[in-house]
Amino acid sequence: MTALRISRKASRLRAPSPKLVLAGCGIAALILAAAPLALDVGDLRLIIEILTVFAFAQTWNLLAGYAGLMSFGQHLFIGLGAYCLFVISNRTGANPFYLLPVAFLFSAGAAALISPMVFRLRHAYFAIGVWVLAEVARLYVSQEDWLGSTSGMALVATRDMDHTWVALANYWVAVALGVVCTAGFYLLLTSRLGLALVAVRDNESAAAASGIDVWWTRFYGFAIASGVCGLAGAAYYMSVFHLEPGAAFDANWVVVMLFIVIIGGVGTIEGPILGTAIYFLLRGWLAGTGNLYLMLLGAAAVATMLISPKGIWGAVRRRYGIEIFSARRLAD
Amino acid sequence: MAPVLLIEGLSKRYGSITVADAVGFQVARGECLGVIGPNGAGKTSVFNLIDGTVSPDGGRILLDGMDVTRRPKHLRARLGMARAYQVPQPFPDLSAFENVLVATTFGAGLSASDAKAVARETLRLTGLWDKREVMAGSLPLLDRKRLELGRALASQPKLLLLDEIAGGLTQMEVVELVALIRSIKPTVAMVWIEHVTHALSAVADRLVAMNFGRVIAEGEPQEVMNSPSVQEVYLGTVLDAPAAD
Ligand SMILES: Nc1ncnc2c1ncn2[C@@H]1O[C@H](COP(=O)(O)OP(=O)(O)OP(=O)(O)O)[C@@H](O)[C@H]1O
Ligand SMILES: [Mg+2]
Repeated sequence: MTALRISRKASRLRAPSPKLVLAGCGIAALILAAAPLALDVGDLRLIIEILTVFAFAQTWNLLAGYAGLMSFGQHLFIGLGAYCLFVISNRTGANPFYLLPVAFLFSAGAAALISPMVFRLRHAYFAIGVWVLAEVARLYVSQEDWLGSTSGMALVATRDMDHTWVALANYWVAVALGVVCTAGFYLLLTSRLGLALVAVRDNESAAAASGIDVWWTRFYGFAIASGVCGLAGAAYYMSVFHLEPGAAFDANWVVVMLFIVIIGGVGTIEGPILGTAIYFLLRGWLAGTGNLYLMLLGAAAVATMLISPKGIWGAVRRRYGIEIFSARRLAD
Repeated sequence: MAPVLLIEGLSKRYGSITVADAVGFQVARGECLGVIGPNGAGKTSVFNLIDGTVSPDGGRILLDGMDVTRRPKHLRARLGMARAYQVPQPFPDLSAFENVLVATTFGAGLSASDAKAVARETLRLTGLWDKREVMAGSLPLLDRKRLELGRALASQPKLLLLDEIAGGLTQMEVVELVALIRSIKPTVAMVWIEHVTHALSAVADRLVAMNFGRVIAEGEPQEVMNSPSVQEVYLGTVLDAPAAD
């Protein structure tokens, strides 16, 4: 009988099977992909922005909620991914859409390169360490003429392409990114690496005692999250055709990621989906309120943290015992 | 037969405190070495040195003849060391089943389906089957201790390090635990730190007694318990009483 009572809290969270979840993601993606039939260009721009911000938030969630790494410097990778794509495309004339995988590899590679340094720092020092690197990158880019310095650069290659097609392609890239950041991350979390990540997050010493290489597990988590973050940054700036250091390496991106993940629920895939919806609703309502807008966002985040540390989705899950993207491994 | 674990001259100091002072012993497969000693004697510290949580100032650790003194903790685990910590170390946001699954997946290195099968078996063996989907963080202490043992067993070790797993158990539970340990014993080398000496006597082939980071007696269980140096350390305390901690 006690087992039953405990089960309300923890056991038997009702969750659909992975196949059903992936099928649901597929259907949602198809609907989104077909949306241009019914929507105008302005709507598509907004959806691109929503999906981009969602992707940013989800990569931050992967870091903080699964890899146990809190970074205040993820805008570093947004900027790196975007600059990588712009610079290569403008210099070689390459089709920027084909350069998206390169932007991913470049950002993931940058994360890999700085890992030996930033992993020496723990907790708040790590968070701030990456942020400092982002500032350094912004200052460097701002001073280099070949990178467009403070005024930035425009994407040349898409100018001569069919504008309708470019807009559609950008939109579909954003949809694909949304799929990667839900279904893709879901698959990642159900994998071996996913199990290692949550074990390291929960108890580093016990993870090592169970044979998990803590350093490399974190490394993969950091490289994947940062790589996808850079990919999303590259895709976003490609869709607006213009890039400057103050915007790409802007710490406000991280503020938005933090807000979405905290409000929605850290350590769940559903959390950032919910958080993104709330963020855009609030932004719509509070448009034109200036600084008040930022203060209200901050107040909402703090209130959520106090009332429900696992965010709104965390509270829903506890209350109703439902889960959609469950990476839980059941015994039977 | 070559010992599964051989340690020689293991030493560790923290400032002026010496927690391990040239500690040496060995254990073979199928053998259980009991470790006794008063609180603060350095028993847990020796486990920290063996499993790689702490690196020694001096001495050697051989696992199956291989020098692992400088190997990181996770490699020692993969090479066949497993430890049940004195203070349970669960993954709080993972279920009991997933906790054990981590050990079968990474410690034992099993394929996904085998890892699940062994994890299920381990939960039944340790009496946690009914709580398999409960988050480890919300398990009561006794269940967390069961889980701790389960995790160690689930990594299918060559060397099993048990740190006070019988403390706080009822008489009946101790009997069950002893039966469980005996059933595992033939397949592993075991080092068992325990204050509940009647449980230890039921399983251990040899005893090591420690005090102030040093081995003060080693040999047959009765011989060690009755040795003057051990009697002196325990003077005024009842050997069989479970530890207060
Ligand atoms: N990191 C550390 N720094 C300083 N002193 C330490 C450290 N770790 C352990 N000690 C000291 O080492 C001594 C031995 O501790 P240890 O935990 O090994 O004892 P024990 O024999 O396991 O005792 P118990 O039976 O209470 O578990 C204690 O005095 C403890 O305070
Ligand atoms: Mg101890």
